[in-house]
Amino acid sequence: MGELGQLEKQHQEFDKRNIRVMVISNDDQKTAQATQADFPHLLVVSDPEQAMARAVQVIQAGVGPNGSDTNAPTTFLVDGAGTVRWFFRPDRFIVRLSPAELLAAIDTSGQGK
Amino acid sequence: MEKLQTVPFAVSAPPRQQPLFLLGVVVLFLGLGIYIVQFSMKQFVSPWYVPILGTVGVVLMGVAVWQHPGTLRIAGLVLFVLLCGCEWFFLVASKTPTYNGPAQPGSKVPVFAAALADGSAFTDKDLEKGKPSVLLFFRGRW
Repeated sequence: MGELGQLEKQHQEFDKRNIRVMVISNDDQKTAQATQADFPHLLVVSDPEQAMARAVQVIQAGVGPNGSDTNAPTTFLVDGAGTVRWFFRPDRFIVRLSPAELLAAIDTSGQGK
Repeated sequence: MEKLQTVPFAVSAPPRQQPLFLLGVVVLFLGLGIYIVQFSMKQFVSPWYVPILGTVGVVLMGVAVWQHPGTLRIAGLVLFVLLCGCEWFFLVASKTPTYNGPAQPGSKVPVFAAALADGSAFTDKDLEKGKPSVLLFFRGRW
């Protein structure tokens, strides 16, 4: 959750680049609503059935609560036509992409306006 | 007459014990302390220094126990070896697999259906409406 707070703080930088930041977890809708309230400038997606995570294949088996499957931290940059332009998967789940690194990737890819 | 040779009598103080064990404990906890500071600063990078400093600390404690064994020291050493082992395990076990999924650069995002927090539908088609997006998958609120 720490990275969400960092992204929220930097929301003006994403707005400036006309980029929307969507955060996806396996939380149910009620929990996703609480997350949305905490981070109003991010767009929170509720994916409790892991439909989106399985389609994109970001599930990591057995590392969630009680040995369940959960999302491996992964970030994708998608252009306005739905094409992936860049992605980042840290080598460890305790590592996160910083907003500065994400903004640099956006600028390098030419997706920010 | 035989001359008596006098030898100066010196009382030497017992050799001062180096506080190696204590130093080892400090070094071990230094790594954990730095990580807490790093975490509170939201710097999410691999803290390899934690188990490395832990190992250095345990080695120092081991030398101290070797030089001056004692039940308490040995028990402490065992405890700190376990703690150091946990640090290594946590870091090694935190490895994530390399991403080889279908959402590679240049490919369309696969077909999916999910929902936004407000309950409205959200699908792959919503990503084709002109505005670039960052999709950040995270582990959730637990």
